[in-house]
Amino acid sequence: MVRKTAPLAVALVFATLVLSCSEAPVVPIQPTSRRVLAELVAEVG
Amino acid sequence: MLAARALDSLVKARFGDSLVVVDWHPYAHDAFNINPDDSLRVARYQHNRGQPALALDGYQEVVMPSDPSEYYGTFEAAIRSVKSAAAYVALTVTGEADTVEGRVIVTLAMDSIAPGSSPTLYCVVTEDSLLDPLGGAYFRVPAQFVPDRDGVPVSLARGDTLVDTLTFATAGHRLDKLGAAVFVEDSSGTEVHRVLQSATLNRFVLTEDK
Repeated sequence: MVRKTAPLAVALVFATLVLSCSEAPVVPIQPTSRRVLAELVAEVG
Repeated sequence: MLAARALDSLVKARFGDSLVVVDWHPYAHDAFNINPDDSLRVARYQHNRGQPALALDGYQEVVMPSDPSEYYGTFEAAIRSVKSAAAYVALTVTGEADTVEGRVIVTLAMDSIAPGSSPTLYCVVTEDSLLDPLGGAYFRVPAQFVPDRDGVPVSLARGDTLVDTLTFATAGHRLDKLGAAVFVEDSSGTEVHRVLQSATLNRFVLTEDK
């Protein structure tokens, strides 16, 4: 039984590594202050 | 003029660089119509000929008070309400220019949870201190879109940073009066053309011709 669980554990670790590596690194952009775009369609003159 | 002055005052007294202003002059009889009637953009906003209209972040139109003395307070309240929402786009802009070419260097990063899947980057080169026959000065008047009015589609994965240099010809412009407004629009969401983030380049760093 011992011989069977060891390869299983190794396989699980390997699978975890593969899965975690396939994910894009999470580098969240922190919320920043919004800079508001004000577009004035100007009056003439 | 009065609406433009109210925005100028808000930049100076309240919002500083966190308020990016573009002052369109879409009418054919406007002597400062150096960017010909931009129907593609102006058509998004309701407007009456000869009367000012103000849109915030590309989609929210401000109800203009009938009394111009109320422009300042009305604009300030509207801008504060839009500004309170968090932005998940980091946008910085620098620029340099010589007598041949101007270069706007844009650095952009955005979180993948930002609304919209088709952001588009726009850059408007603006010119200050255009005088009318009566001596009135116009500021932040669009001179041209760079590279064009269709903008630059942006494709970024989470964690990516885009650095791009947008170039334009400076012939015919006063280098010391040029600036730029850069903004990222969500062109796919329900609120079409909603601006996710914007930035102002107040002045270009003048360099020797390359």
